Amino acid sequence: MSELVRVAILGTGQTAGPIPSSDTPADELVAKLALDASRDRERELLLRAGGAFVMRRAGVIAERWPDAEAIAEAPLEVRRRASAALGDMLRSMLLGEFGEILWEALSGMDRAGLRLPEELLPLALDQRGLPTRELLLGVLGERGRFLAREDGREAWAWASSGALAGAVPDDADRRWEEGTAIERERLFQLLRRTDPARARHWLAATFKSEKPEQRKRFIDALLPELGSEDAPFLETATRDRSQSVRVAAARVLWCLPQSDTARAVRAQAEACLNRSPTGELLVTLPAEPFGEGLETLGVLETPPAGVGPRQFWLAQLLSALPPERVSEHLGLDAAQVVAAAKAHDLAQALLEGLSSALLRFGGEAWAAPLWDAWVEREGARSFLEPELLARLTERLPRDALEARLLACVRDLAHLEVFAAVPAPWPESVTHALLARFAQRTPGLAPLVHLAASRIPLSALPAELSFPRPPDTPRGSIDAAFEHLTLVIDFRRRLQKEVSP
Amino acid sequence: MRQRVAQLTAAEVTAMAPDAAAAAAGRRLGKAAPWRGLGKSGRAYFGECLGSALYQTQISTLDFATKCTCPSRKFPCKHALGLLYLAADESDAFQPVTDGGEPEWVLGWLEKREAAEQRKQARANAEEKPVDRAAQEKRAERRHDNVIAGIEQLDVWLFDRVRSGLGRLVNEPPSLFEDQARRLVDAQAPGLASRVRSLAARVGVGETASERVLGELGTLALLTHAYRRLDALPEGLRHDVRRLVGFTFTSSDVIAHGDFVVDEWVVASSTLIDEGHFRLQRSYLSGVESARTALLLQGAGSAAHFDDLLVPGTAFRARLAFYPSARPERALIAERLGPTVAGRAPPHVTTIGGALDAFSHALARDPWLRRLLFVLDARIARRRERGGDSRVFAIDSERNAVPLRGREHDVLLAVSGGRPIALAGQWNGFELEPLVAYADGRAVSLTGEEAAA
Repeated sequence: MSELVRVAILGTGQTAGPIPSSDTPADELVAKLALDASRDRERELLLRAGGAFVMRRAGVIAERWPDAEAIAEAPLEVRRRASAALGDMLRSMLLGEFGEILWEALSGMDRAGLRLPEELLPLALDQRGLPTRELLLGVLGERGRFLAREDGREAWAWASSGALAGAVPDDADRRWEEGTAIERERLFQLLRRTDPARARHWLAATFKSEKPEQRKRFIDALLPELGSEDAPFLETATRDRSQSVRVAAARVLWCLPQSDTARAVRAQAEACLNRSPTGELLVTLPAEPFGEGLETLGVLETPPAGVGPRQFWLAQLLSALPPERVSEHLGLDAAQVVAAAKAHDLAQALLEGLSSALLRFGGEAWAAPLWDAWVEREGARSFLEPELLARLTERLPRDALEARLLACVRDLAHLEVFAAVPAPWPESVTHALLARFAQRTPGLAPLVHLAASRIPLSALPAELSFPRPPDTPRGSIDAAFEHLTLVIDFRRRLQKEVSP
Repeated sequence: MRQRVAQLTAAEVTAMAPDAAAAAAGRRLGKAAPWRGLGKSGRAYFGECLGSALYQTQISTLDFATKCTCPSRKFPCKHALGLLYLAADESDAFQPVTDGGEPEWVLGWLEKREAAEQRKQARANAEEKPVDRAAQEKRAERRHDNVIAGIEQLDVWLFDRVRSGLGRLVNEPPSLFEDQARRLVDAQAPGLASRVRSLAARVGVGETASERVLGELGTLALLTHAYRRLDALPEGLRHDVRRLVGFTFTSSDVIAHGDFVVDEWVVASSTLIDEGHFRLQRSYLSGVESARTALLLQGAGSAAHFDDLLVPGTAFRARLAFYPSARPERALIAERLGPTVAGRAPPHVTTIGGALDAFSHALARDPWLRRLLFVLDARIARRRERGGDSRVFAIDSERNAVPLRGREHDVLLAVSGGRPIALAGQWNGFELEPLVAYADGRAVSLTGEEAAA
């Protein structure tokens, strides 16, 4: 700090003596004004400071960027940049407008070999949802990955590993040791697909030093390509210091039928479920108190609010039993088991267990009866599996789904299930819906909104309009129709832009 | 009458939107489906949009002024933007009608606008009538006396600040600056008032706050000193000092001054300063042949449009009239001589050394210069600092670097990707405020406004 500034900060009233120099030629210019040293101290100080300020601004020279400090360059792009018009639409979607069809835009761009315009990359990297991020990985381009890497912020790390989408990189070992959490997770998944044993060895070497949440995620990541050679590692993990890791490891072991854990848990589950000579289900709830053995088998003790503990344990045990084993054990087919479960006092717990088992082990014959059972239970929520109905819907054979949706439209019943049906909805269902919409049936507005982003464009007429009959007051359905036509138009423009 | 504007582009419509949300909403309505009664004449585009009610929306083709019956406080509203997008993208969607054949509600608006334009012309003509020179001189004298009294009072205020010490400023209430600024407004010196107001924001900001504040107070003292010696100054500088104090030029003054440059002008940057009730657009234009830089300022009320659409990355041939100055930069469009074309970049880029030299020369002619347009050929890189913070720099081919103002430069870093780009920004003597990045034949606005593709 110069003496002149120091005097200005303290105040000329607090300091005596002549005004200090500004150390610039401004002083000489001020001297020519022949100010009165006793009366014009403040003026002299200000003029010197003003002149010096101008001179210093004029004399600014650039910093020298150190030769040793490299300026990283993004690799050249392989993909074409999205057009300006598509960029406009993408900006709207990334900001939330038409957000429900962002997936459609990103998938279309990926197919068409397009990438996001550079100016949208920060907005894209800020996206939070996992499914959206998965889709974005395909269209970030080299620039997006470069930006995430160079920036280094944790919230963008998910994108820096996008380069791992192809083959295992040469420096995989280094990346595994030094990479960010998300990069390591993706690398692990990638290696697991090509060299499961090496991936397991990687994990075993670092497992103890991982955070509990990360240990659990890596355990879950063993499921694809799971083999009996993974069992010893998983058995060790069932003795982990973290409960969530212990439970996760045990539940992965459920999928290895020869493992001790799988054998034990299946035996316990089968002990809970029997059939009377008349075909009724005889259910034995697990005994209280909760035994340590149950937790070793991957069963959690504490239920969510509003759920009885024994029912909670029962549902978890049943979820460890592959559906075909249930059929064999009871001597009933899928539809019969589900029918018996629905009729039972413990229907919720039974359906929970069977559904969760279906999601874990598969079993095509079970999807339709279980889906029907949950739809009949209108509004019942699963305490075991999030988004259960949507996930069951994905398991439904296409024709079974189509028939059920058509029935819903025909009877105007259970329309809420459409929320669980991913796009694109079957064409026949779309036609049925449009016919229903044209009738302006009360209560359809939410479904019209939903349909806007999920009905396939190929099933729609060129001109989509829902005229209001004369003398009919404007209602919520009219606002929904406007939304529908706007979204459809937006999607059509989008489709045009992403056409190869 | 002003010249009729050429066909609008979608990028220009986006540039007219008050914010990104309005532009997105306008985009949604920029197609024929939600409209009925779409029509166009030589004077207007119009249509009715069915929202929560039926809104009547219209655009004048003269200057793309808009009117809509919706209650939105945004201007232009989403309906007007939608109609503008539709006019830009699908002009065939409008049924042609003859001038005068528009619906009643459009005719009424057009007639009102025509009447207003005539009144304006009449006022302009009236201004051209011989003035009462004696009265005018008396008014000028009175204002000069007021300003002199104002700057004497300002000097006392400045001296009080350094006498009591700048260290005390952080504890002073904002009214210290605001009250002084008001006194300067009363003294008919609004330029000085604005400088005093801007000082308030500098107090206590940054490591060198005291030095900056002292420097600003010092240049203010230089200005009051210069105004007292106005007659001794060269003509150009005299105009600058008067302008800085708050004297203004009318368009006819500028035209009469006669400093015209005909060139193809590329809009290098355009920044909107929104004060709520008033919006100011600062646009820098670069002359292709003359290599001159022109600063165009346009003001408009919150619900009014700017006279000229100036979108970065566009260019047009025009005759600009420069304001009298020791360093003529501020200008107005005297006459447009050609249509606006998109896909252009500023024609003259420079190194950082060259730009800093230009800034030194500019300061030598105008010591009160606050900022200068730099168009750099530079790469953008981030440097990590101790404590985890980082700063972003523009670096030229000679590895000279200048710091960028602020911390958020994600879009700029994305556009550059570590490779050379043309960067238009404002240099304030300490930092560069990035405005527009030019790369791959595109202009990307860095200030939140849209640029032409």
